[in-house]
Amino acid sequence: MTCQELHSYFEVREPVDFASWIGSAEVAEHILGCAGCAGFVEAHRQMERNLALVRATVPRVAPALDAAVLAHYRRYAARLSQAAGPTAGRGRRLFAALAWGAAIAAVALGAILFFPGRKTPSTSARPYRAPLIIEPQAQRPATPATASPTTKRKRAARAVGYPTRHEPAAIASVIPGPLPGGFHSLMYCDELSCAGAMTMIRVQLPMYAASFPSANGMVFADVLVGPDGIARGFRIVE
Amino acid sequence: MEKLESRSDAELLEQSLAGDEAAFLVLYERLKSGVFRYAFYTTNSKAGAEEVTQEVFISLLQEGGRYRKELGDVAAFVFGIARNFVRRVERRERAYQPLPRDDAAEGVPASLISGVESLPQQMMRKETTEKVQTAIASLPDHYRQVVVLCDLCELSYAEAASRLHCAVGTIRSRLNRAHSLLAHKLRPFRDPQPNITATGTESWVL
Repeated sequence: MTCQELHSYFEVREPVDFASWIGSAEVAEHILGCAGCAGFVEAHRQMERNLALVRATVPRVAPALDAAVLAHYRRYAARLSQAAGPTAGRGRRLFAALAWGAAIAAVALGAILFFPGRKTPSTSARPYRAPLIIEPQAQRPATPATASPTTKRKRAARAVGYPTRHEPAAIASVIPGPLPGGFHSLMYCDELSCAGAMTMIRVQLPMYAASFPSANGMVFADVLVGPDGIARGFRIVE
Repeated sequence: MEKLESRSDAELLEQSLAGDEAAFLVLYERLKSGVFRYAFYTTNSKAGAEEVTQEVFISLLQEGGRYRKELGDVAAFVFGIARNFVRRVERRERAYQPLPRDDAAEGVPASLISGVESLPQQMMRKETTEKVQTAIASLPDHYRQVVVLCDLCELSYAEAASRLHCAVGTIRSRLNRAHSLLAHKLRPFRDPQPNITATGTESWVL
Protein backbone atom coordinates (compact mmCIF):
# COMPACT_ATOMS: atom_id res chain seq x y z
CA MET A 1 0.00 0.00 0.00
CA THR A 2 1.27 3.47 -0.84
CA CYS A 3 0.69 6.67 1.12
CA GLN A 4 -1.66 7.90 -1.59
CA GLU A 5 -3.74 4.74 -1.44
CA LEU A 6 -3.94 5.10 2.33
CA HIS A 7 -5.07 8.69 2.14
CA SER A 8 -7.57 7.92 -0.61
CA TYR A 9 -9.48 5.68 1.77
CA PHE A 10 -10.49 8.72 3.81
CA GLU A 11 -11.90 10.33 0.72
CA VAL A 12 -14.17 7.39 -0.04
CA ARG A 13 -14.48 5.29 3.13
CA GLU A 14 -17.28 3.15 1.80
CA PRO A 15 -17.83 0.23 1.38
CA VAL A 16 -15.31 -0.83 4.08
CA ASP A 17 -15.83 0.71 7.51
CA PHE A 18 -12.99 2.38 9.38
CA ALA A 19 -12.51 -0.28 12.07
CA SER A 20 -12.11 -3.18 9.67
CA TRP A 21 -9.98 -1.14 7.28
CA ILE A 22 -7.52 0.01 9.91
CA GLY A 23 -7.19 -3.51 11.25
CA SER A 24 -6.21 -4.92 7.89
CA ALA A 25 -2.69 -6.33 7.42
CA GLU A 26 -1.62 -4.05 4.58
CA VAL A 27 -2.54 -0.90 6.51
CA ALA A 28 -0.68 -2.14 9.59
CA GLU A 29 2.35 -2.97 7.45
CA HIS A 30 2.38 0.47 5.83
CA ILE A 31 1.97 2.29 9.14
CA LEU A 32 4.95 0.48 10.61
CA GLY A 33 7.21 1.81 7.91
CA CYS A 34 5.73 5.34 7.48
CA ALA A 35 5.71 7.71 10.44
CA GLY A 36 3.66 10.38 8.59
CA CYS A 37 0.88 7.98 7.72
CA ALA A 38 1.02 6.52 11.22
CA GLY A 39 0.35 9.97 12.73
CA PHE A 40 -2.36 10.65 10.17
CA VAL A 41 -4.13 7.38 10.88
CA GLU A 42 -3.75 7.80 14.63
CA ALA A 43 -5.30 11.26 14.43
CA HIS A 44 -8.30 9.86 12.60
CA ARG A 45 -8.52 6.91 14.95
CA GLN A 46 -8.62 9.33 17.87
CA MET A 47 -11.22 11.40 16.13
CA GLU A 48 -13.34 8.32 15.55
CA ARG A 49 -13.16 7.55 19.25
CA ASN A 50 -14.13 11.09 20.11
CA LEU A 51 -17.05 11.02 17.70
CA ALA A 52 -18.17 7.75 19.27
CA LEU A 53 -18.05 9.47 22.65
CA VAL A 54 -20.23 12.28 21.36
CA ARG A 55 -22.61 9.76 19.78
CA ALA A 56 -23.00 8.09 23.15
CA THR A 57 -24.01 11.32 24.84
CA VAL A 58 -27.37 11.52 23.17
CA PRO A 59 -30.09 11.19 25.80
CA ARG A 60 -33.26 9.21 25.40
CA VAL A 61 -36.34 10.97 24.16
CA ALA A 62 -38.31 11.94 27.24
CA PRO A 63 -41.80 10.44 27.57
CA ALA A 64 -43.02 13.97 28.27
CA LEU A 65 -42.00 14.93 24.73
CA ASP A 66 -43.98 12.03 23.29
CA ALA A 67 -46.97 13.05 25.39
CA ALA A 68 -46.69 16.68 24.29
CA VAL A 69 -46.50 15.77 20.61
CA LEU A 70 -49.45 13.41 20.97
CA ALA A 71 -51.45 16.10 22.74
CA HIS A 72 -50.70 18.47 19.88
CA TYR A 73 -51.83 15.87 17.39
CA ARG A 74 -55.08 15.30 19.27
CA ARG A 75 -55.76 19.02 19.30
CA TYR A 76 -55.09 19.07 15.56
CA ALA A 77 -57.48 16.15 15.01
CA ALA A 78 -60.13 17.84 17.15
CA ARG A 79 -59.80 21.04 15.11
CA LEU A 80 -60.05 18.95 11.96
CA SER A 81 -63.30 17.35 13.07
CA GLN A 82 -64.68 20.70 14.24
CA ALA A 83 -63.82 22.23 10.89
CA ALA A 84 -65.66 19.43 9.13
CA GLY A 85 -68.75 19.75 11.38
CA PRO A 86 -69.73 23.40 10.89
CA THR A 87 -69.15 23.09 7.17
CA ALA A 88 -71.75 20.35 6.95
CA GLY A 89 -74.12 22.39 9.12
CA ARG A 90 -73.57 25.41 6.94
CA GLY A 91 -74.39 23.31 3.89
CA ARG A 92 -77.62 22.09 5.44
CA ARG A 93 -78.63 25.62 6.41
CA LEU A 94 -77.84 26.87 2.92
CA PHE A 95 -79.94 24.08 1.38
CA ALA A 96 -82.85 24.89 3.68
CA ALA A 97 -82.61 28.58 2.81
CA LEU A 98 -82.57 27.77 -0.89
CA ALA A 99 -85.59 25.48 -0.50
CA TRP A 100 -87.52 28.16 1.36
CA GLY A 101 -86.55 30.75 -1.24
CA ALA A 102 -87.71 28.49 -4.06
CA ALA A 103 -91.04 27.83 -2.30
CA ILE A 104 -91.65 31.53 -1.73
CA ALA A 105 -90.78 32.30 -5.35
CA ALA A 106 -93.19 29.60 -6.56
CA VAL A 107 -96.00 31.01 -4.42
CA ALA A 108 -95.30 34.54 -5.67
CA LEU A 109 -95.26 33.36 -9.29
CA GLY A 110 -98.55 31.53 -8.80
CA ALA A 111 -100.12 34.61 -7.27
CA ILE A 112 -98.99 36.77 -10.20
CA LEU A 113 -100.36 34.30 -12.75
CA PHE A 114 -103.59 33.82 -10.83
CA PHE A 115 -104.27 37.54 -10.37
CA PRO A 116 -103.04 39.11 -13.61
CA GLY A 117 -104.96 42.40 -13.03
CA ARG A 118 -102.72 43.32 -10.11
CA LYS A 119 -99.79 44.83 -11.84
CA THR A 120 -97.00 46.71 -10.33
CA PRO A 121 -97.64 50.45 -10.74
CA SER A 122 -95.41 51.99 -13.30
CA THR A 123 -93.31 54.96 -12.44
CA SER A 124 -93.29 56.30 -15.97
CA ALA A 125 -95.35 59.35 -16.81
CA ARG A 126 -98.86 58.48 -17.85
CA PRO A 127 -100.11 60.10 -21.10
CA TYR A 128 -102.60 62.87 -20.95
CA ARG A 129 -106.08 61.55 -21.39
CA ALA A 130 -108.69 63.88 -22.65
CA PRO A 131 -112.23 63.63 -21.29
CA LEU A 132 -114.51 61.31 -23.17
CA ILE A 133 -116.57 62.85 -25.83
CA ILE A 134 -119.80 61.25 -24.76
CA GLU A 135 -120.86 60.95 -21.18
CA PRO A 136 -121.13 57.39 -19.84
CA GLN A 137 -124.61 55.96 -19.65
CA ALA A 138 -124.41 53.97 -16.46
CA GLN A 139 -123.63 55.94 -13.31
CA ARG A 140 -123.89 54.25 -10.00
CA PRO A 141 -125.17 56.38 -7.15
CA ALA A 142 -122.45 57.30 -4.71
CA THR A 143 -122.68 57.05 -0.95
CA PRO A 144 -120.64 59.94 0.35
CA ALA A 145 -120.93 58.92 4.00
CA THR A 146 -119.05 55.68 3.48
CA ALA A 147 -116.86 56.60 0.53
CA SER A 148 -113.16 56.00 0.98
CA PRO A 149 -110.52 58.30 -0.57
CA THR A 150 -109.97 55.79 -3.39
CA THR A 151 -113.69 55.70 -4.10
CA LYS A 152 -113.76 59.48 -4.09
CA ARG A 153 -110.97 59.61 -6.66
CA LYS A 154 -112.81 57.14 -8.91
CA ARG A 155 -116.03 59.12 -8.55
CA ALA A 156 -114.28 62.35 -9.43
CA ALA A 157 -112.77 60.72 -12.49
CA ARG A 158 -116.19 59.56 -13.59
CA ALA A 159 -117.59 63.08 -13.06
CA VAL A 160 -115.07 64.64 -15.42
CA GLY A 161 -115.31 61.82 -17.90
CA TYR A 162 -111.92 60.14 -17.40
CA PRO A 163 -112.03 56.44 -18.13
CA THR A 164 -111.27 54.15 -15.23
CA ARG A 165 -109.60 50.78 -15.48
CA HIS A 166 -112.46 48.85 -14.01
CA GLU A 167 -115.16 50.17 -16.31
CA PRO A 168 -114.51 48.90 -19.82
CA ALA A 169 -118.30 48.48 -20.46
CA ALA A 170 -118.94 52.19 -19.96
CA ILE A 171 -116.21 53.06 -22.41
CA ALA A 172 -117.65 50.67 -25.00
CA SER A 173 -120.86 52.61 -24.96
CA VAL A 174 -119.21 55.92 -25.43
CA ILE A 175 -118.43 55.80 -29.13
CA PRO A 176 -120.70 53.22 -30.72
CA GLY A 177 -120.31 54.15 -34.31
CA PRO A 178 -117.59 55.20 -36.73
CA LEU A 179 -115.42 58.24 -36.26
CA PRO A 180 -117.15 61.35 -34.95
CA GLY A 181 -117.05 64.57 -36.85
CA GLY A 182 -113.88 66.60 -37.14
CA PHE A 183 -111.60 63.59 -36.95
CA HIS A 184 -109.44 62.56 -39.84
CA SER A 185 -109.41 58.84 -40.40
CA LEU A 186 -106.05 57.10 -40.07
CA MET A 187 -107.38 53.80 -41.50
CA TYR A 188 -110.48 52.47 -43.21
CA CYS A 189 -113.10 52.78 -40.60
CA ASP A 190 -116.70 51.66 -40.75
CA GLU A 191 -119.22 50.45 -38.20
CA LEU A 192 -117.90 46.91 -38.40
CA SER A 193 -114.18 47.56 -38.27
CA CYS A 194 -114.32 50.45 -35.82
CA ALA A 195 -116.95 48.98 -33.55
CA GLY A 196 -116.36 49.31 -29.86
CA ALA A 197 -115.37 51.98 -27.47
CA MET A 198 -112.55 54.29 -28.34
CA THR A 199 -110.44 56.47 -26.16
CA MET A 200 -109.47 59.97 -27.08
CA ILE A 201 -106.02 61.06 -26.08
CA ARG A 202 -104.89 64.65 -26.30
CA VAL A 203 -101.25 65.06 -27.22
CA GLN A 204 -99.02 68.08 -27.64
CA LEU A 205 -97.34 68.34 -31.00
CA PRO A 206 -94.12 70.04 -31.92
CA MET A 207 -94.52 73.43 -33.56
CA TYR A 208 -93.15 72.40 -36.94
CA ALA A 209 -95.88 69.70 -37.24
CA ALA A 210 -98.60 72.33 -37.50
CA SER A 211 -99.28 74.08 -40.81
CA PHE A 212 -100.74 77.14 -39.12
CA PRO A 213 -99.37 79.62 -36.63
CA SER A 214 -100.44 78.99 -33.07
CA ALA A 215 -101.48 81.83 -30.81
CA ASN A 216 -99.96 80.56 -27.62
CA GLY A 217 -97.16 78.63 -29.28
CA MET A 218 -98.72 75.26 -28.40
CA VAL A 219 -100.39 72.80 -30.77
CA PHE A 220 -102.57 69.96 -29.50
CA ALA A 221 -104.17 67.03 -31.26
CA ASP A 222 -106.86 64.56 -30.18
CA VAL A 223 -106.17 60.93 -31.14
CA LEU A 224 -108.86 58.28 -31.10
CA VAL A 225 -107.52 54.90 -30.03
CA GLY A 226 -109.53 51.74 -30.41
CA PRO A 227 -109.79 48.94 -27.86
CA ASP A 228 -107.08 47.05 -29.74
CA GLY A 229 -104.62 49.96 -29.13
CA ILE A 230 -104.59 51.10 -32.77
CA ALA A 231 -105.18 54.77 -33.50
CA ARG A 232 -108.29 55.26 -35.65
CA GLY A 233 -108.32 59.00 -36.21
CA PHE A 234 -107.07 62.35 -35.14
CA ARG A 235 -107.91 66.00 -35.16
CA ILE A 236 -105.96 69.17 -34.56
CA VAL A 237 -107.23 71.28 -31.71
CA GLU A 238 -107.16 74.90 -32.74
CA MET B 1 -51.13 -1.39 13.42
CA GLU B 2 -49.26 -4.11 11.51
CA LYS B 3 -50.72 -2.80 8.27
CA LEU B 4 -49.60 0.70 9.15
CA GLU B 5 -46.07 -0.50 9.84
CA SER B 6 -45.79 -1.72 6.28
CA ARG B 7 -46.91 1.57 4.79
CA SER B 8 -44.60 4.20 3.45
CA ASP B 9 -43.88 7.46 5.24
CA ALA B 10 -45.79 9.37 2.58
CA GLU B 11 -48.91 7.25 3.09
CA LEU B 12 -48.65 7.59 6.84
CA LEU B 13 -48.29 11.34 6.54
CA GLU B 14 -51.36 11.53 4.35
CA GLN B 15 -53.38 9.48 6.82
CA SER B 16 -52.07 11.52 9.73
CA LEU B 17 -53.15 14.74 8.13
CA ALA B 18 -56.58 13.24 7.60
CA GLY B 19 -56.89 12.61 11.34
CA ASP B 20 -55.67 9.01 11.74
CA GLU B 21 -53.92 8.99 15.12
CA ALA B 22 -52.53 5.46 14.77
CA ALA B 23 -50.84 6.42 11.50
CA PHE B 24 -49.37 9.50 13.12
CA LEU B 25 -47.96 7.45 16.00
CA VAL B 26 -46.24 5.06 13.62
CA LEU B 27 -44.80 7.95 11.63
CA TYR B 28 -43.68 9.71 14.80
CA GLU B 29 -41.91 6.58 16.06
CA ARG B 30 -40.09 6.28 12.76
CA LEU B 31 -38.91 9.86 12.58
CA LYS B 32 -38.55 11.15 16.11
CA SER B 33 -35.23 9.52 16.91
CA GLY B 34 -33.49 10.96 13.86
CA VAL B 35 -34.96 14.41 14.42
CA PHE B 36 -34.09 14.39 18.11
CA ARG B 37 -30.53 13.21 17.56
CA TYR B 38 -29.92 15.73 14.81
CA ALA B 39 -31.33 18.52 16.96
CA PHE B 40 -29.35 17.40 19.97
CA TYR B 41 -26.03 17.18 18.15
CA THR B 42 -26.49 20.53 16.50
CA THR B 43 -27.80 22.44 19.52
CA ASN B 44 -25.77 20.50 22.14
CA SER B 45 -28.75 20.82 24.42
CA LYS B 46 -31.38 18.31 25.45
CA ALA B 47 -33.94 21.03 26.08
CA GLY B 48 -33.20 22.53 22.68
CA ALA B 49 -33.51 19.14 21.02
CA GLU B 50 -36.84 18.50 22.70
CA GLU B 51 -38.12 21.89 21.67
CA VAL B 52 -37.03 21.38 18.10
CA THR B 53 -38.53 17.89 17.93
CA GLN B 54 -41.85 19.11 19.24
CA GLU B 55 -41.91 22.07 16.89
CA VAL B 56 -41.01 19.89 13.93
CA PHE B 57 -43.99 17.62 14.42
CA ILE B 58 -46.36 20.50 15.05
CA SER B 59 -45.10 22.13 11.90
CA LEU B 60 -45.44 18.84 10.03
CA LEU B 61 -49.14 18.83 10.84
CA GLN B 62 -49.51 22.40 9.63
CA GLU B 63 -47.26 22.25 6.58
CA GLY B 64 -47.52 18.57 5.71
CA GLY B 65 -49.95 19.37 2.93
CA ARG B 66 -47.11 20.99 1.03
CA TYR B 67 -45.16 17.72 0.86
CA ARG B 68 -44.63 16.35 -2.66
CA LYS B 69 -43.24 12.90 -3.32
CA GLU B 70 -41.20 14.02 -6.28
CA LEU B 71 -39.18 16.39 -4.10
CA GLY B 72 -37.85 13.62 -1.83
CA ASP B 73 -38.90 11.32 0.97
CA VAL B 74 -40.79 12.41 4.06
CA ALA B 75 -37.67 12.08 6.22
CA ALA B 76 -35.90 14.62 4.05
CA PHE B 77 -38.93 16.92 4.25
CA VAL B 78 -38.95 16.60 8.03
CA PHE B 79 -35.21 17.15 8.14
CA GLY B 80 -35.68 20.40 6.25
CA ILE B 81 -38.16 21.56 8.87
CA ALA B 82 -35.82 20.46 11.67
CA ARG B 83 -32.92 22.29 10.13
CA ASN B 84 -34.90 25.52 10.02
CA PHE B 85 -35.93 25.17 13.64
CA VAL B 86 -32.37 24.38 14.71
CA ARG B 87 -31.19 27.55 13.00
CA ARG B 88 -33.89 29.47 14.81
CA VAL B 89 -32.81 28.05 18.15
CA GLU B 90 -29.17 28.76 17.37
CA ARG B 91 -29.94 32.37 16.52
CA ARG B 92 -31.87 32.73 19.73
CA GLU B 93 -29.26 31.01 21.92
CA ARG B 94 -26.22 32.60 20.31
CA ALA B 95 -25.94 35.20 23.05
CA TYR B 96 -25.94 32.50 25.71
CA GLN B 97 -22.97 30.26 24.99
CA PRO B 98 -22.90 27.79 27.89
CA LEU B 99 -19.71 27.49 29.82
CA PRO B 100 -18.39 24.05 30.82
CA ARG B 101 -19.96 23.11 34.12
CA ASP B 102 -16.99 22.48 36.39
CA ASP B 103 -19.07 21.64 39.41
CA ALA B 104 -21.30 19.13 37.67
CA ALA B 105 -19.32 16.09 38.76
CA GLU B 106 -18.52 17.41 42.24
CA GLY B 107 -22.15 17.35 43.28
CA VAL B 108 -22.64 13.72 42.34
CA PRO B 109 -22.86 11.42 45.42
CA ALA B 110 -20.16 8.78 45.67
CA SER B 111 -22.74 6.04 45.67
CA LEU B 112 -23.83 7.00 42.16
CA ILE B 113 -20.37 6.92 40.64
CA SER B 114 -19.86 3.91 38.46
CA GLY B 115 -17.38 1.41 39.75
CA VAL B 116 -15.99 0.80 36.29
CA GLU B 117 -15.22 4.45 35.56
CA SER B 118 -13.69 6.61 38.24
CA LEU B 119 -14.66 10.22 38.77
CA PRO B 120 -11.51 11.60 37.07
CA GLN B 121 -12.20 9.36 34.12
CA GLN B 122 -15.77 10.56 33.96
CA MET B 123 -14.60 14.16 34.10
CA MET B 124 -12.05 13.56 31.37
CA ARG B 125 -14.64 11.90 29.21
CA LYS B 126 -17.04 14.75 29.76
CA GLU B 127 -14.33 17.27 29.00
CA THR B 128 -13.37 15.42 25.84
CA THR B 129 -16.96 15.26 24.72
CA GLU B 130 -17.46 18.96 25.26
CA LYS B 131 -14.29 19.79 23.36
CA VAL B 132 -15.32 17.64 20.43
CA GLN B 133 -18.78 19.15 20.46
CA THR B 134 -17.23 22.61 20.50
CA ALA B 135 -14.95 21.66 17.63
CA ILE B 136 -17.88 20.34 15.61
CA ALA B 137 -19.90 23.45 16.37
CA SER B 138 -17.05 25.64 15.15
CA LEU B 139 -16.99 24.00 11.72
CA PRO B 140 -18.52 25.83 8.77
CA ASP B 141 -22.18 24.93 8.48
CA HIS B 142 -21.91 22.75 5.37
CA TYR B 143 -19.15 20.68 6.99
CA ARG B 144 -20.93 20.52 10.32
CA GLN B 145 -24.13 19.26 8.72
CA VAL B 146 -22.25 16.42 7.07
CA VAL B 147 -20.44 15.44 10.27
CA VAL B 148 -23.67 15.48 12.25
CA LEU B 149 -25.57 13.45 9.70
CA CYS B 150 -22.90 10.90 8.75
CA ASP B 151 -20.78 10.57 11.89
CA LEU B 152 -23.26 11.27 14.67
CA CYS B 153 -26.67 10.37 13.24
CA GLU B 154 -25.01 7.51 11.32
CA LEU B 155 -26.82 8.09 8.07
CA SER B 156 -25.39 6.65 4.88
CA TYR B 157 -23.89 8.97 2.30
CA ALA B 158 -26.92 8.53 0.10
CA GLU B 159 -29.30 9.44 2.92
CA ALA B 160 -27.21 12.47 3.84
CA ALA B 161 -27.15 13.52 0.20
CA SER B 162 -30.95 13.23 0.12
CA ARG B 163 -31.32 15.34 3.25
CA LEU B 164 -28.94 18.05 2.07
CA HIS B 165 -30.08 17.95 -1.57
CA CYS B 166 -26.60 17.40 -2.97
CA ALA B 167 -24.63 14.63 -4.67
CA VAL B 168 -23.07 11.72 -2.82
CA GLY B 169 -19.66 12.80 -4.07
CA THR B 170 -20.21 16.19 -2.46
CA ILE B 171 -20.98 14.49 0.83
CA ARG B 172 -17.78 12.43 0.58
CA SER B 173 -15.57 15.39 -0.17
CA ARG B 174 -17.16 17.54 2.50
CA LEU B 175 -16.83 14.80 5.07
CA ASN B 176 -13.18 14.26 4.23
CA ARG B 177 -12.51 17.96 4.53
CA ALA B 178 -14.50 18.18 7.74
CA HIS B 179 -12.52 15.32 9.26
CA SER B 180 -9.27 17.01 8.39
CA LEU B 181 -10.48 20.23 10.00
CA LEU B 182 -11.68 18.37 13.07
CA ALA B 183 -8.40 16.50 13.40
CA HIS B 184 -6.60 19.79 13.14
CA LYS B 185 -8.80 21.42 15.77
CA LEU B 186 -8.46 18.51 18.17
CA ARG B 187 -4.71 18.12 17.76
CA PRO B 188 -3.66 20.29 20.74
CA PHE B 189 -6.21 18.46 22.81
CA ARG B 190 -4.68 15.08 21.90
CA ASP B 191 -1.35 16.11 23.36
CA PRO B 192 -1.90 16.11 27.13
CA GLN B 193 1.44 17.82 27.90
CA PRO B 194 1.99 20.76 25.58
CA ASN B 195 5.45 22.22 25.20
CA ILE B 196 5.49 25.19 27.55
CA THR B 197 9.16 26.01 27.50
CA ALA B 198 8.82 28.32 24.54
CA THR B 199 7.17 31.16 26.45
CA GLY B 200 8.30 32.30 29.85
CA THR B 201 4.96 33.67 30.93
CA GLU B 202 3.14 30.36 30.46
CA SER B 203 5.82 28.51 32.41
CA TRP B 204 5.48 30.99 35.22
CA VAL B 205 1.70 30.61 35.31
CA LEU B 206 1.85 26.83 35.27
